[in-house]
Amino acid sequence: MHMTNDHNNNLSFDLSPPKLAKVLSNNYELRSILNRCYNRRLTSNLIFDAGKLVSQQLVYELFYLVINMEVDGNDSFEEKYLLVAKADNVKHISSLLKAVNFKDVGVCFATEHGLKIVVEDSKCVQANTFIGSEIFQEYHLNDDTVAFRVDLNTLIECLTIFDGCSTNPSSTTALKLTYKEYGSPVKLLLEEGGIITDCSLRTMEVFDILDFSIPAESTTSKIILRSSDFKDILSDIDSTSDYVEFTFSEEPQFFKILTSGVAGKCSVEIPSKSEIMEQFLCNTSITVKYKYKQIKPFLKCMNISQKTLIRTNEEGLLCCQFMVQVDSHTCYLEYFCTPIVDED
Amino acid sequence: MKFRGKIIDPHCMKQFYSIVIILSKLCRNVVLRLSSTKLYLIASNESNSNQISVWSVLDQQSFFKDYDMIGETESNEILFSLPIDMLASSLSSAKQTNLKTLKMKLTDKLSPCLTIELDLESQVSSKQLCTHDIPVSVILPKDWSAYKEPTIPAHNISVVMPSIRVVRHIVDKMKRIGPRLIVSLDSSGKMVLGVSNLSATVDTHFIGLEIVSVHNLTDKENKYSTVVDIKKFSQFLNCETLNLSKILCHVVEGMLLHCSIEEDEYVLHYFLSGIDD
Repeated sequence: MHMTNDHNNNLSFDLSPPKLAKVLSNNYELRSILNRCYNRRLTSNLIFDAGKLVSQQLVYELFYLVINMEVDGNDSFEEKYLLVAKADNVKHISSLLKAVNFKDVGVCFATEHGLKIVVEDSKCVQANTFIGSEIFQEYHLNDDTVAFRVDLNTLIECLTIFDGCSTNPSSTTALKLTYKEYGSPVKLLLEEGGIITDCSLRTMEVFDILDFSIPAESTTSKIILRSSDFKDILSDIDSTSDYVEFTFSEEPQFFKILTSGVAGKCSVEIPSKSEIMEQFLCNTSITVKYKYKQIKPFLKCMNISQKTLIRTNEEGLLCCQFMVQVDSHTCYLEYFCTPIVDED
Repeated sequence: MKFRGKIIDPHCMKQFYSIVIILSKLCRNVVLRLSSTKLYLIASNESNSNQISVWSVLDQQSFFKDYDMIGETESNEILFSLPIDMLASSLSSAKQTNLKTLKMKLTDKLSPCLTIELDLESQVSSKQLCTHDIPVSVILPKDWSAYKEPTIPAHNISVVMPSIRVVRHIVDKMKRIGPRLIVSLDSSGKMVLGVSNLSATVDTHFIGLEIVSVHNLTDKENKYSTVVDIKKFSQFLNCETLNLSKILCHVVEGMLLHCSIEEDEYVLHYFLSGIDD
């Protein structure tokens, strides 16, 4: 296919009819315009004066569709790709990814329910975010599970490339993500205001990842807090402290955060009846220490979430779940953190 | 050797200030070349002093109300270099509305100086005079050859740059991905900015740009590209005063990215030489 756009805004390209049909299948306005052109010329080579016939916006749309097709290659693209996902607004996805970006590399799992991105650090912290398939306008998967590892920093940089470009606050960036086969790069196609960015991210082999989970029956304590207030508390804790100690107390019922830094010890106690506490359940009192720098990334999640759920089990494994509202859907962010084992 | 000039038009003062600001973001020292009709601001590439990176020409008549200079040689020119950030900070009151006149003159104080006199009007007192002396080093005629007008190479293609704000945002994002930016322009009016690192390749396509000229060898689509240092290009794009100007972007295949602003009263060229891919 060949397409040109000279400075008189004459857009000309040559497309075979089946390809054209594919291009036109989802845009009625363009289809009627092109049908008119076809009727006039009756050739497969189509040249029309875009300035007279269509608005600039439509030219962009057409160009976007044509580019899309080039990426898609053949007609039955959905069967040839392991994963194809399209979203109208990439901002939701990028903000979820930013919240778990405490390490450079992330593992991406695609299942029929959606995309899960897992980030790990030194086998003791794991963060994951689940982006449900309902967040995407189109979501096709041609296998049970598809998994690959990507450079998360670059992925986020690509997804946010149009951030701040538009002066119109209502304009959004559209995304099309494709993954062809095992070992091939992940392709991203982003569009905003007629400008197109295409990215190709190399993928890496997936290694075993840790299987952290706290089943409901082994949960010893569970609290739900308002994220905005919990963020204020957590952002104020002493950054010179090496560790953060969490206490879940059964009787009297409270949740305590204790730090010990150069300025001395500092503790914050939130009683179960506090108005920031939505739920407080505790079967056995437990006191566990976690590394400060492993707790700190939680703050990123709290900025975008509404509620925080904290759970522990007998071993002191910490699980923080953050509820994030995306349009009318709810997405979850999850952090697992292993406790510090005391030397004595 | 003598020079004195006076600007009174507020628009000219702002424009002069914005040109100085652009230069101050791109380099440390600027050579001022004065002739009887024109005022040149020239910046050399700091790592490679033979190369000119910014060449700007101001038309004396449209900027200055009074302009008086006597050079030492037959060509009647004066050349001196000065730290551009000092000039920029001296002129910072030029963006204020109460500036009445801006005078510049060469003076001989402890060392040769460019004296800037700003005449400000204030509501409290009737008049305020603010004087800045910027030390300059006069360039001797034997060294003038380095600052003669650069021969602008034949461009393969020239287009009107898309919205500078959008390009700046995108280049600033790309800067975090890799250090080299591939700029390609093609005869269909498409500009592609590309960057890559070990883990990714990213290209942004701008379409429908107005083509100013294209060196067409054949009828088919021609594409020209050059690789430049992304940090330097971003520096240029980050000059805030560029926002309102129409910028032309020229490419010499593999050699040069050249951006130019051509207005009636002044011309500014920015040369960014290609680096090996």
